[in-house]
Amino acid sequence: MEEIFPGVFRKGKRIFTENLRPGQKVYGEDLLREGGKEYREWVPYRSKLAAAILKGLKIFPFKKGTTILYLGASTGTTVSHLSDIVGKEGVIYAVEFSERMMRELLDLCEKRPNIIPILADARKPKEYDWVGEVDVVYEDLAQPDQTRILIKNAEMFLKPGGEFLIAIKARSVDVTEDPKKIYRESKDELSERFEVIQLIELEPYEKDHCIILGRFRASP
Amino acid sequence: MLFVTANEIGIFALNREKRIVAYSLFPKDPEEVLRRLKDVKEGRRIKELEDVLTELMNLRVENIVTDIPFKDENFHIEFKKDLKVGAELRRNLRDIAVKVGFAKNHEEFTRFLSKVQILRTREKIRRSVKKDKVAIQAISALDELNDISNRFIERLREWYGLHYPELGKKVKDHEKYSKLVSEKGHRENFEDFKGSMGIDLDEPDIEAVKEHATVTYGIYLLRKRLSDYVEEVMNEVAPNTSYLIGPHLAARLLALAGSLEKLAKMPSSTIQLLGAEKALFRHMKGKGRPPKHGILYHHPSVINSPKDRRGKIARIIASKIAIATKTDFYTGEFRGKEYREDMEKKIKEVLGE
Repeated sequence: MEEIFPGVFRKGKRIFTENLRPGQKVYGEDLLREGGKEYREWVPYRSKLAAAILKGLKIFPFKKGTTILYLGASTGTTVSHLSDIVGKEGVIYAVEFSERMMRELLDLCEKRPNIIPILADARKPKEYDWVGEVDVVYEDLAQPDQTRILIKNAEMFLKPGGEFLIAIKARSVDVTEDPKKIYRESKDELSERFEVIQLIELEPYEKDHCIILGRFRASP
Repeated sequence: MLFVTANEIGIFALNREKRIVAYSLFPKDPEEVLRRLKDVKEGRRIKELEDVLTELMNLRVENIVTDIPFKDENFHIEFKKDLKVGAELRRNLRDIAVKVGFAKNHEEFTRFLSKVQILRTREKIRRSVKKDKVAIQAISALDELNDISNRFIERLREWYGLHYPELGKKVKDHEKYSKLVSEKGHRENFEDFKGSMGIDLDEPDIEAVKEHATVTYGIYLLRKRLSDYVEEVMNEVAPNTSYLIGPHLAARLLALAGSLEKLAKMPSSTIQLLGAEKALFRHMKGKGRPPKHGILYHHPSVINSPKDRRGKIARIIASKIAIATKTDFYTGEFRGKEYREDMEKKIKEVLGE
């Protein structure tokens, strides 16, 4: 086991996080015991963040104690690994709008008290404005206006100098357009407000998806 | 002047400099906290509010601006739903909770807040699962039953046809056919079976096909009951839309949209093409012509009209549905009759009648 980022371990071609709840799987991933610790495999075909790591993510803004605003938490596959990484001292504010997804996410929250569920529309951050300042904003929404939603939320919650990660699904912005063009447009839009650090395409793990990593400039 | 505000850990009073001058904490029990927040929101006096007000009396405070609706003769109170000071306090609640001793550390507070949010979210989901979801499940089940019954009757007719092929021609109605076979079994039990071209079957062979007939007939009965049920639920969930285009088509639109709320928020152009997504995307990619209608194709006025006018008619129907669903979702009053008359008038114009 080699620790490639804080709380992220690599063995061979696979990556792992240390299980916060030993013995329990979240989405059918492999569990591995080594050196008295238990690790959960982080499957790149299931989690875009894992795919981004394997495709050469340069900066990993998460560690023990990080506070995260996670937009589009879904059933919590990626959230569960972030929960492993930030540990009990960290917090993940998990925003999800779909009730079906939320029902499953709630089961995860029961087991992992560092996840705070929020049933709300990420387009209306005022509904959860009590969240306060966070270290990182992560967005995986698959909505046509996803970059605008990120900007809105980052301006409200992200600390100056804090990082963001956004997963862009080209097919949900415009099905007919070339994905590369959509990535570039999203990147340009984000560059107006943020420092864009890296754009990672997620092939072969996800088709027509990319992750953009950036940083919030301190407001003028 | 002081601000008084409620949040997940207690009741707080702050001065103009946003300093906390008095507070009373809730018990550290998520359910209890939600109960108290509900109470104060509805104007009931709770112990923690009394505590804070007593302290403010001692401090000789006269004016209060607050996000809690309460009355008290000892103060001049101004109610403000979105109190900025209160919102700011909540944003820093993690730190404040530790400072005032509500939680030992951040970790403990996170655990507490997570529980509060889980309870809140559960409650929210419980309240919002409405009857439109029931209608969607029922219409989906009905569609599946249609498929199943078709397969079953096809098999039954072929199977029993080996034995008594003439019955198939005589009884066209599927439900009746399955009922007859399930009741009579052997062809000898029919009056005019003589001269049948079918093969003779033994008792066990007859039993097997008879049993299949019984199940098939049961499916038809179930389908009928479910169809009535869909009608009943839809008349309750969306009376205007159901009256306008019939409860079943309305239910299918609902299923495609996902919920009554989503359908009510759709523009009529989207409604017109619900169910034609594949054709629409094909067209947007530059292949093929734009679709005229989706599921609305099944509306009698569309399906029975000449091809070159179906698009126009689908558009008229969709625009009325857009209005009817909005009436169903937002007001609930019944205006289906006038919508339908208006729609039928416009369709007649298009058809040149």
